[in-house]
Amino acid sequence: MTPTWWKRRARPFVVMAVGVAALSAADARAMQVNPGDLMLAMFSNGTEYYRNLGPASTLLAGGTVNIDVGSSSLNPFTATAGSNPILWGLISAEGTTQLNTFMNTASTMTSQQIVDSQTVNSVVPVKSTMDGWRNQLGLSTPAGTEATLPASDPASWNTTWGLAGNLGGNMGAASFQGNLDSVLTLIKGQARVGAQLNVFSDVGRAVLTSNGMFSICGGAGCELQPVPIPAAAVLFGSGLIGLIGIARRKVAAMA
Amino acid sequence: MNCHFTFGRGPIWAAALCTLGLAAPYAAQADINIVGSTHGQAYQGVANPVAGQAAASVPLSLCDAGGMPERYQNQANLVDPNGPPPPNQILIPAGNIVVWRCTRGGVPNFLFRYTGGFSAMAYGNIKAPLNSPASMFTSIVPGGAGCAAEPGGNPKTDPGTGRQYNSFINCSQIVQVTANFATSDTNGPAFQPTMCDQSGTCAQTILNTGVTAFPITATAFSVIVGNGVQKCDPTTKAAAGKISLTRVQVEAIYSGAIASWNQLGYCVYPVAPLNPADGSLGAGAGDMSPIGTPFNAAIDQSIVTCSRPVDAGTRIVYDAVFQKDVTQITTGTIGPPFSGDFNYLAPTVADGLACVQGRSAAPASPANMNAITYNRADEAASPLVFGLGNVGRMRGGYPVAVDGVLPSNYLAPAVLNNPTAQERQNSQKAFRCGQYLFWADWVGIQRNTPDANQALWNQYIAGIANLLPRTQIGYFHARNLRPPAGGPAVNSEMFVQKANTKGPIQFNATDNTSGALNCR
Repeated sequence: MTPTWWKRRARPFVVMAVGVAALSAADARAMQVNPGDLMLAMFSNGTEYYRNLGPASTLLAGGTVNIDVGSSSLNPFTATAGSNPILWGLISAEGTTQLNTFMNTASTMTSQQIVDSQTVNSVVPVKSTMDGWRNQLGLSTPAGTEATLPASDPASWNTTWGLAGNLGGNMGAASFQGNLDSVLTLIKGQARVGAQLNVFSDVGRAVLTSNGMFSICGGAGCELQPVPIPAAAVLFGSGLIGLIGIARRKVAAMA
Repeated sequence: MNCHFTFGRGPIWAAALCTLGLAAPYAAQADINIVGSTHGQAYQGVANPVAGQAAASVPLSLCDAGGMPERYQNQANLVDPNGPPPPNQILIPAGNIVVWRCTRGGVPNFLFRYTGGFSAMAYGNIKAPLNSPASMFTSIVPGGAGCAAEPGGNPKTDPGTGRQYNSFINCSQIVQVTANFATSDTNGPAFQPTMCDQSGTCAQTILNTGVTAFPITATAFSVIVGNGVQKCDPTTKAAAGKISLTRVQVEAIYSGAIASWNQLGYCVYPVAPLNPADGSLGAGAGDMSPIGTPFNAAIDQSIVTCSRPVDAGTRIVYDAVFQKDVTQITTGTIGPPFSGDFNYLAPTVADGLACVQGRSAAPASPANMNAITYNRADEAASPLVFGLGNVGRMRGGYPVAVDGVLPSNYLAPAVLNNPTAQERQNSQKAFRCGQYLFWADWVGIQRNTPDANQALWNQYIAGIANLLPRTQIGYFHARNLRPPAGGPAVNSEMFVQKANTKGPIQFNATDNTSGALNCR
């Protein structure tokens, strides 16, 4: 066995590893997060993954939107895996005055709990914290819509929102994060409607499955359809099997 | 100077000496340019001191005895050409640019320049190399366009130093000068990217790379509410007097988690007419209604919050000292006027007070008697800028005890603008004894590269130490001055020690060594 032989066998895997490493090096501070953009975050272990899903108003306009998160070149399910189950959350916020400030987030609350919960939640602090988080992630550079960060980073979800599920202590009811494969209720929280503070409503559903598919639908009580195995996973698996097959054939030929 | 040339090597020496002699006066004319926070205005003297006031001009103490120093100031807001284009242009507030011209070291036309406004901008100036474009800030031309003798007539007498000077105001001709030194309401690392305001701007951490920041003075912070806010009787809901707050409550209010006074057990009542009336306040301003005034459900019980922009040191210090664990509200309207919303950004110190008690002069604003704001106690208390509309004597609102302590006892002095030393000491007692925990350093900043004016800067800092007891702001001030090189405080009568940018705060609530300040 010569070094040349070893290098030839390893070349496809080295190329793939280098490619993955290069893509993983994307800096979270290169993300552009506009007001109202819905952010998906996967967290609870040492590394976190974020994806800008675009304007919440578009995603919640109706129908179901499926996004193949598992096919991301950042390998979010591998990057965020650890001793704790992967958690995920959704957050967006926008507004210029208290009267037009609102947020969208995903919650374990039922529709009735949403109605009952408004007095223990605070929309304005969530919006203000979201502004700080958007700023830390980076507003000036347009490149990139997804990124990873160490959980210890000052700009991480863990640092900004914590892992207690109450969005930094601003949301006191239920939990505003979910496990993989659990469907969460999407809620809209308005800072103020007339003299009434923290008015919440049911505006949709969302789920992040363990096979990598993120689905979201708009409208109270909307139904999420079963989702197929992501095409990227099929392609990746096929490619991997092919590479192994080629390698085995070459080894057999040299034997 | 007459230059006589002789023969041999003599002419060479003579020519050299002659040249040095001609050049020396100009080399010695090292103007000193300082850019910094509004707080620094307190040390630059006043355009028209009132006899008996306790004002003191520190720059005047740098001038030679004799002669007639001149003081120049802008009277109107001036557009800063270094700021962004309209509509986001920066206005340097009226009175924030001061230039002193006098004879120093026997050389005439020494210029002392101070421009106050925004701490972050000053930091940027001083971190840039001397004479580089980024080091330039806006000053006024002494004797330039617009400058006119102060209407009260010249000369003036500075009460603090006893020196006479001629005073000119309304200067509008601007000039760009390099920053020799800077001041800030807070140390650079206190600026955090999570501090954002409703303009969409967020603060950025300023590292002290290439510069040294050192505390000059320490100043208390005060929280102020409108006169409509009172305790309410738990049974009858009738008005029951001034409220107090805890730091955590203040934090919850400014995070938006608490948006109604009722959530804290307080109520908003109609205000009573001011007696005597005050035409300088805005529509709706009034005095506190008497205790026992019935609750009126028609009165808006919500909390109106008045904040400051993230490029103002006051805001950053407030965030670091009060808003320790959560972020401040980022929604709301940029005033003035402060009308039609629940949260406002007040661009200047004076605007922060106008947000509560309104203002009849331009830019006018109605009052918000259910509002809350914050300010450095010394600036808010200074009658130099705000007349009677200051924290201690502001008529549309009142300072609130935080965690049970006021930054001052706020007892009206016998002479409103000229408290005695004993009255000042009494007012500062809680702060200087370490019982009032909410305060911040005012810092000086200098480059780590040598500056020809270092000795002059040191003299200026020392001048603040010496003259502070005789300034008007001394009424609310803790005299905790330290030299530029660090080391022990110039004046050690204050025992409070605080982390550089943010708590925890430790203090030693004991009497000082002289026994002059009985803290127990």
